Amino acid sequence: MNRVTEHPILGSMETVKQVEITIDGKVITALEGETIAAALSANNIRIFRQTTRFKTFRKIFCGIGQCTDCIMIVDGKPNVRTCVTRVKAGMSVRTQIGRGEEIFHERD
Amino acid sequence: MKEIDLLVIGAGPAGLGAAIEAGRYGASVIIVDDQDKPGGQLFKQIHKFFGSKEHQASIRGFQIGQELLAEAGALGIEINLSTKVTGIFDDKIVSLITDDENVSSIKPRKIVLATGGAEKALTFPGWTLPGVITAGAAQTLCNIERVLPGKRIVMIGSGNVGLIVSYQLLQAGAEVAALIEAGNKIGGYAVHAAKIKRAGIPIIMGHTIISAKGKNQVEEIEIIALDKNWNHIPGSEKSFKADTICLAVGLNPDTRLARLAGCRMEYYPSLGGFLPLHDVNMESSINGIFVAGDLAGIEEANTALDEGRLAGISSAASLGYIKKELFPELRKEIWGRLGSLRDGSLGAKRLSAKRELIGEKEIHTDLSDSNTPDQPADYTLKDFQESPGFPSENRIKRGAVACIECAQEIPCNPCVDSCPSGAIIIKDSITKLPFLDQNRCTGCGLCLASCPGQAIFLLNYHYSDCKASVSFPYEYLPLPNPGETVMGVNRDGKPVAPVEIIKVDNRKRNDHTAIITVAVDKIFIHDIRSIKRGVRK
Ligand SMILES: Cc1cc2nc3c(=O)[nH]c(=O)nc-3n(C[C@H](O)[C@H](O)[C@H](O)COP(=O)(O)OP(=O)(O)OC[C@H]3O[C@@H](n4cnc5c(N)ncnc54)[C@H](O)[C@@H]3O)c2cc1C
Ligand code: SF4
Ligand code: SF4
Ligand code: FES
Repeated sequence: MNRVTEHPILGSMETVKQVEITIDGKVITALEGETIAAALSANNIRIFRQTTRFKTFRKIFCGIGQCTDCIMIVDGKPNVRTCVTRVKAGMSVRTQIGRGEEIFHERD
Repeated sequence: MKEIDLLVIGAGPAGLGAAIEAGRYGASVIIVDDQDKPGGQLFKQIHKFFGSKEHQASIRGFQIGQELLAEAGALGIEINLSTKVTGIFDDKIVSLITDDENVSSIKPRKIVLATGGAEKALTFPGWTLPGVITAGAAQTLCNIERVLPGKRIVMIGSGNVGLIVSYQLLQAGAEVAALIEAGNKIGGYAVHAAKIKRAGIPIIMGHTIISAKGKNQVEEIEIIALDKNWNHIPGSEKSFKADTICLAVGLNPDTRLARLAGCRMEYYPSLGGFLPLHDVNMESSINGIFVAGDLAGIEEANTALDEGRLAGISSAASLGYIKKELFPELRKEIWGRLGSLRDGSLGAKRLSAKRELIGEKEIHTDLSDSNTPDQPADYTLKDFQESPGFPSENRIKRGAVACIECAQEIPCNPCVDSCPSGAIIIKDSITKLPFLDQNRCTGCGLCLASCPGQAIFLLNYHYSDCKASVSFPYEYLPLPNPGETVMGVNRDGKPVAPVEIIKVDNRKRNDHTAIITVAVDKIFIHDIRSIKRGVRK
């Protein structure tokens, strides 16, 4: 886990409800109210999508909704900016290939 | 269609400042922001701010944000979040989309555009690999979401954003492997650089990144030295392991809406590139559309806030809410505050660009055109000893005394107000260097935690027969315990000698800046300035 539970300025992290979401079918734990990108980063997941032409991988870049590098398929909807979309219990998140054709690679 | 006096677009410091001022004078105001939380970049900024009392210096950015939100709330200002402005049409009809699906429109009589900036990218082979992120993304992840963006991070760029975000990554518990700067001088404040140097982070000057390598994600970074003309020096390549590369190479004003509205643009490199031209009231080339903050030139949060306040006051005045006689007074006061923030060598370019674009020189007549001498590439003990904040050797031998290592002219003066004995003096303009009246200094140490630059130390030559004591600010976890022996480090974070922790003062008024006192061999009184950071569990 990469969570900053203790912080010299911000103090201890508030206890928030844990929720489960799936990433390419695999269940992971997220914290209510955090962004999908944060939940994936906390779970050491660094590949969010694959580009159309060169098939290279992408993760977040700007982190504030400006660049669209972090788009994924969320509850069946492609091109969702995961850095500004918050998790919900039971949410299904999938690695996006190109413009949104589903990807079925299972994560280990 | 809903009609209101003022629509403010963007709920960062500039937008909040504009809304609060216009609301205070009676205008009906709505703020919209496309994010689902207000504050723009402000809530990520967890360090103590510079400036003076009027700029709320020594208060942390997110606390200023909380105060602004409370103020806006008390004035009954509506903030519509998750609401993006998608168009500004003739007659100031504005189209909005909320929650990505509900479309609406609104007809304000005046508009303040405070859309902020966008971070620049830097391209190199491998720059699209997962793990290359902007410094802002890193700051958002570690300070808002409380997730580390990586374990071993390299920062590119030594402007204030690069320096501050490196420091904040360390505070969150990440390892910062190095900070890379292409130029031969630190771009940001020397006091920010000094903090990360004391933490032992190498700042590699005169180098640039040539590639990020790794299978599917960043695993290694390669850098190269640059010559005087910024050409690569072949054979000087170096590689090291890193899983994250943060880009802090500047911002551009986010001019998308301003362009859409038809505002005239002009290019000012020292303010971040193209920006909407504006006059002394912050009004753009389009009547009734005002601009403020990073959109009107990339600067800092406190300049953004004051520009926003000015835009708010101007729009309220143009709507008749402020008496004609009062308006110039209010405006002058804000320009005075803005002037002091832009004073000094680091603000000189921004100040002259602002002057040129506004075309009203008299606004700044109280400020001299800065002719401050060139900044040294690195500040050494000698620079500090020659600066007016350093006590004499005789004074040091007489007993506890403050030692101010602040030798670069920056707009800042909270140390002055923090001293109950009036021993710190900054004359004329807040950018002048602090002067220590060493005979007045009682050695009480109250100034240490107030300094946002963490540049003040307390030296006590007579702690015991063979030891002196040194006190310094410390904002990392874990805090050491009194009685413990740890490694004392110098200004570059290099080990000097083991030291004993005498005191850890983390009282509330320090606002999370612990003041640590260590006993050191007397000969190290000018060397030891911090301790090796402990390992977090
Ligand atoms: C990573 C980073 C670190 C920084 N660190 C510091 C620092 O430590 N100290 C400092 O003084 N300054 C810092 N800055 C500078 C920073 O830009 C200012 O602090 C300040 O936040 C600028 O204020 P603003 O109100 O102009 O813009 P912002 O705070 O960026 O606010 C603009 C708001 O407008 C919204 N918006 C944009 N377009 C639309 C639209 N079409 N519809 C609706 N809403 C829209 C945005 O979502 C955003 O919330 C930093 C900047 C960055 C990017
Ligand atoms: S140590 Fe006390 S008296 Fe001396 S400068 Fe600091 S606050 Fe003033
Ligand atoms: S010593 Fe004074 S002027 Fe210098 S950074 Fe600290 S508070 Fe600001
Ligand atoms: S990372 Fe840029 S939009 Fe999400």
